[in-house]
Amino acid sequence: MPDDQELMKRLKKGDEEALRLLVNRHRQSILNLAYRYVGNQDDAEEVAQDVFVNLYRSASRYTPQGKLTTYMYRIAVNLSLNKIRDRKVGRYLSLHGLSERNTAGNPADETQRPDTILENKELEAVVRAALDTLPAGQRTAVILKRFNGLSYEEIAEVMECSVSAVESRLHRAKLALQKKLKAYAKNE
Amino acid sequence: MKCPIKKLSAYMDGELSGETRRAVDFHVSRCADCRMRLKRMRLSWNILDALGEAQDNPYLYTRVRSALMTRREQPRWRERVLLPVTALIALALGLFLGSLMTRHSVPVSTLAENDSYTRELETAAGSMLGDLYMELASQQLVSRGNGK
Ligand SMILES: [Zn+2]
Repeated sequence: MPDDQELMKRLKKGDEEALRLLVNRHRQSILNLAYRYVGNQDDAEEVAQDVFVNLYRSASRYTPQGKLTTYMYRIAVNLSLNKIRDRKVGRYLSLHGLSERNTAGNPADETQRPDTILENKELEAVVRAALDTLPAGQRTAVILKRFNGLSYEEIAEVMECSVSAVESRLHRAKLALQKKLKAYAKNE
Repeated sequence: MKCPIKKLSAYMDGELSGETRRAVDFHVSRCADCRMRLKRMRLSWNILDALGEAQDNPYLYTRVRSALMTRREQPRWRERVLLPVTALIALALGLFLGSLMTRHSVPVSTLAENDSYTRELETAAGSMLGDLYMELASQQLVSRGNGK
């Protein structure tokens, strides 16, 4: 099997078979990464699609520095954050969205029935709400660390920041999550 | 050693090296508070698992391909429709701002107030137009760069 850099070389020349191989090799990790931001399958698929469209279009400008996945994760993070931002604007513009948000409450609120055993979906909502309150930089560091298992150095590459910035973002994020999820951590 | 609170997160992630790691290790082995801090941090970190994951879509490549095909068709549409529409919006906004300025400019005593108000409006409208223009320009750049 040709490696990622080899496939990128072929993609530069417009080789669509190389694109097919790259999509099939990385689609699951890109889908998952997007899903952790956007929270639903449809939006995650849309983001993933755009990541590969973007990869194809930027192939001619791509210079092999480090892993291809770092480059793809960077695109995926940016597109996911754009997707969330657009969705917020859309929700703000539609009255329906406004009322929906008002009645939704805040599931991450520690005072809400902490001792109930939550269904998986409910716990997922709680965790999502807690993650959503984090600033984008902290959230990205958490997602890349927790779910993609990246090292601080790799996260710094994706986020184009220093390793110490990653360290401090994760430190603050963990303390914030601990506070928000305190009530649910007892059952573990 | 004082409690290395700011180092605990990196310690938990196995991201400390050499001397620092050994020092934190030693401290944690003797400090019940820090062990508790680590435990709490780990518990909430583990709960993140509940976030779940996306389903695989074996047809993603087909989607990507058709997106690439359709988007190649778009530049002409943009030039024909979006440019004139942007120009129209710009004109309408200009007229709107103009009418606002004339309406508010009469009493001298409140001029300063109105002035800053209008300036705010102008900035907002300006940045909206700027965004729209940048969006259009970048899309054209992209589609030109990729038009085959
Ligand atoms: Zn201590």
